[in-house]
Amino acid sequence: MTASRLLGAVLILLAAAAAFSAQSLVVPFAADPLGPRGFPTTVAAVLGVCGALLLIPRGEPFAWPERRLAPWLLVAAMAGYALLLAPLGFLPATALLAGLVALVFGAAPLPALATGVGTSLLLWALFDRLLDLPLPRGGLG
Amino acid sequence: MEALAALGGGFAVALAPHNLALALIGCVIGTAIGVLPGIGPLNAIALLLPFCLALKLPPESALILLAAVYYGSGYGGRITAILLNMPGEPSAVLTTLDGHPLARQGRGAAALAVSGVGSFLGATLSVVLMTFLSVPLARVAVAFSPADYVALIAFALSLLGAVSDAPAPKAWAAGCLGVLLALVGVDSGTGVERFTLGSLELLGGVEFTVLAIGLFAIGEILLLAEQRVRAEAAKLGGGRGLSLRELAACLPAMLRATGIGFVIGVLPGAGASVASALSYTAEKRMHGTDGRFGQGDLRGVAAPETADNAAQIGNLVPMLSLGIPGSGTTAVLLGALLMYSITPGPLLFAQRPEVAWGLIASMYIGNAMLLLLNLPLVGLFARLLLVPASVLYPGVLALSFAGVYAVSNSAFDLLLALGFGVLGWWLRKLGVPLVPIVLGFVLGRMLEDNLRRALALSDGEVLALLHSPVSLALWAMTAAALLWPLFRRRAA
Amino acid sequence: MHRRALLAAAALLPAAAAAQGFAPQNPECIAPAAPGGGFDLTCRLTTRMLNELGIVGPAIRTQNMPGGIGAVAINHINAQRRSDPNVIVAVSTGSWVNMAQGRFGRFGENDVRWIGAIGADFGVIAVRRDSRFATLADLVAALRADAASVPMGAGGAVGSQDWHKAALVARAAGADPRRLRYVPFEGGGQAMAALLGGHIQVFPGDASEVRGQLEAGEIRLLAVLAPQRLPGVFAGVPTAREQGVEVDWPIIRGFYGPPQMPEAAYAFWVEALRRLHAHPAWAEARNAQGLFEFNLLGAEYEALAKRRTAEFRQLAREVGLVTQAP
Repeated sequence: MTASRLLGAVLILLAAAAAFSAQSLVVPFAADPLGPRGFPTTVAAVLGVCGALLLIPRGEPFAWPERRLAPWLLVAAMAGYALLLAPLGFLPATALLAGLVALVFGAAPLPALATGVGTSLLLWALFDRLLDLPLPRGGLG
Repeated sequence: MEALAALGGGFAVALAPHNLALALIGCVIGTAIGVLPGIGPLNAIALLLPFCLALKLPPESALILLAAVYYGSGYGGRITAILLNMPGEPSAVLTTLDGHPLARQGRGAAALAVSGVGSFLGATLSVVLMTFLSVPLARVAVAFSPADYVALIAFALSLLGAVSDAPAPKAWAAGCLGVLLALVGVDSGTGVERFTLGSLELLGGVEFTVLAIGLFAIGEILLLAEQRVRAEAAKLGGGRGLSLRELAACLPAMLRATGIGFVIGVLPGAGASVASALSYTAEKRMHGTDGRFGQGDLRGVAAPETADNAAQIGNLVPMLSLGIPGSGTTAVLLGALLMYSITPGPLLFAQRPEVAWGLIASMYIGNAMLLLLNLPLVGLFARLLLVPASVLYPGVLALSFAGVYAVSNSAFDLLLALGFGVLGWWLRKLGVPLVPIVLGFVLGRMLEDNLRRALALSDGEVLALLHSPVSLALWAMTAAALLWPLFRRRAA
Repeated sequence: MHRRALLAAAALLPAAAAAQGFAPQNPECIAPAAPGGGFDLTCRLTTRMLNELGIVGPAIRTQNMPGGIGAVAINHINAQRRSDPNVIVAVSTGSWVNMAQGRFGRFGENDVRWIGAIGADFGVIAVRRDSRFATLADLVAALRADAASVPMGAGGAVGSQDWHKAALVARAAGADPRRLRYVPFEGGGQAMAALLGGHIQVFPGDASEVRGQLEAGEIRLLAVLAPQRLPGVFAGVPTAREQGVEVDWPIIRGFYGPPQMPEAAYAFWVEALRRLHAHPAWAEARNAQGLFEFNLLGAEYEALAKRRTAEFRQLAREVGLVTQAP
């Protein structure tokens, strides 16, 4: 199965889900002739047709990741960041994230630490001080 | 000439030293805001407003500052779009198409210079048009009916397939995906919740910045991490600069884009994204054979950037001459006037000429400042690519997340952006273009809203969509745009 | 750390406000909208005045919490800061409409402490200057004859506060609100453009957003939806009540606090707003926000919030709007 056929199948499933979800919407009263269903259903139909067209084999091999771990490591780091930002506080959390990304992009540990700390301090100054948009202070106050 | 005399009065205001300084500050802040992901001109103006009040700036000075932030942002969005493939604002999305390939070929500085000149030209010519034609234009603009908007947006959407060189089903699937994402949240017509999956956070819909940062910034970084990009950045610098001949070749595209951008900008219900999409595809269609669109054509940078800035200025026309905000950002600018007990409206030019004309005059000056600020700096900006990947990408990623979090305080938005990031990463690997997603996202909602308005006004009569010559012409162009690829294929 | 030491020192000082038994520390105003929205202005401008006039000592910082048209903020308050004495949240009539329709999850008007109002804008019924409607009675007659015969539009969806203005007038006219030909626009500005362009005939907007067109004579107002006539340019516009249509539509802006806010803190914030309303500088700052005087505080404000929410719930049920079970 080529990548584009797989994509086509996923798109058809998505279109079906969207169309189904649209049909289940309850309309309070006929406020306007279009209603909430018509437009998403049409778009889902077009999406489904596009998915079907992709099922026609065209034979592009899918480039499986060469270095599979690195991006997923980043994804995990970012998810962790999102969840830990408030409890940990902006400065430590951001330093951690930026340092980790630096490591993934090939920095040595010490420069990575410097990048992390520098980035988080700079951003904190920019948003919290200059723009007056409060960032979480975390448990460290 | 009445307008010229009034404009002279405006220059007397705008050339006062403190107003010049404020325009400069505004231009710098605006450019920076354009670069920062997550924070748009709307947010920036709202944040600056209390400062203006606290400093007791007179209204014309405050407006000069805030407006400079507004049109200055149009200069900033392109920098990250060209250099890093990460648009800083919606209308810079089109700029990535040719801007980033140019940067990869080492011509980032040239692309930045072209976009700077284009932005200046588009903005300045639009200010000229505004000076003389503001009021009649605004009158025409309000006559544009929901049915006309439907035709206009349908036309813009019909060009979606032409935006990228990906196979049509992929481009259209991407567009549909964008439209469906835009429909998440409380439906503006009926108040029904759609596609929220029971999440309170999604009630208000998906934020554009969250989508764009996810698809472009995070997606790009994930892809780069996978491809083990480390030293590549260094070889990106050092291409040829921009020659006068190249600039001259872009001039017709810039002039056309100014026309398209300004006209679309004047309409209160359209926006800079529509303008830049239309002018990009128009150029691409015109130069279908001789252009290298999508692989790094300078005209592909000039057109959307020029149109974007022209549309931004155009957007101020209904605001100043009728007191009608055409976008969220102009609404905040209007709110700023209100805070100074100035009633924005048709009488603004008569009652407070120093405010209205001072602002217009300051826009001539501000745009010249932006050009002078930007041109010498393109080399410096382009050197951003010489920063090692291990410093650049951590910074970009943290900046993106901090920007989203600072205005939303929502971990949910960060996770959502991450989700879009994974999506963007995989779609890129599958050869699905991302720009149609963004266009679908912006245009899809506008299309449904206007379709609903038009049908509600006509009581469900579909033929009413063709009521005016404007809509008829636009529908004819839409049909032509959709059928064009079929003919071209037969001819080839 | 540095800041913490300062705070500890501040807490030990017998500050003036401590006479009331509560002195805020790191006070915060949550705006359930992005910077630039109405809630954001309520927070930023009001807290600026509270600080500038010396009513609240420590600087109040504004925190934006958009997400779910205000739902995220009320959930945040209820889940994580139920008894935080240092946080207030901007709120408006629109939030009551959302509470009535159960859009804030399981939280409603009984899950917060209503502190007080800072001012109000009022609904108006606007028509173009050459409109066939000369008075509200003309519009009412047309709606009674056929509710669908008058295309109207404003900046919100069916069920939103803008729609309520039209629906209440229709109901007062004895017409069915469900049959209205109501067209939602993206903000009041676009609705005004459609009115001037002749695409809609009636724009149920807000006083602050139609002032410019009114002064220029581009539009006429059939009525203001206020208990008494409004001052200034609006003085010549009769209220709906004067014309026999019993409809008021104040858009009241104010603040709420967490459900278990300590009594002393609650009293402090109510008193702070009372002093704000009493201060001569406030009138100008309030006008600048497009708000008219409206100063219900504490228990009175709470009663109002609960009464209005109940009314909206009633109307939503009557016309069959979608409501999420609270």
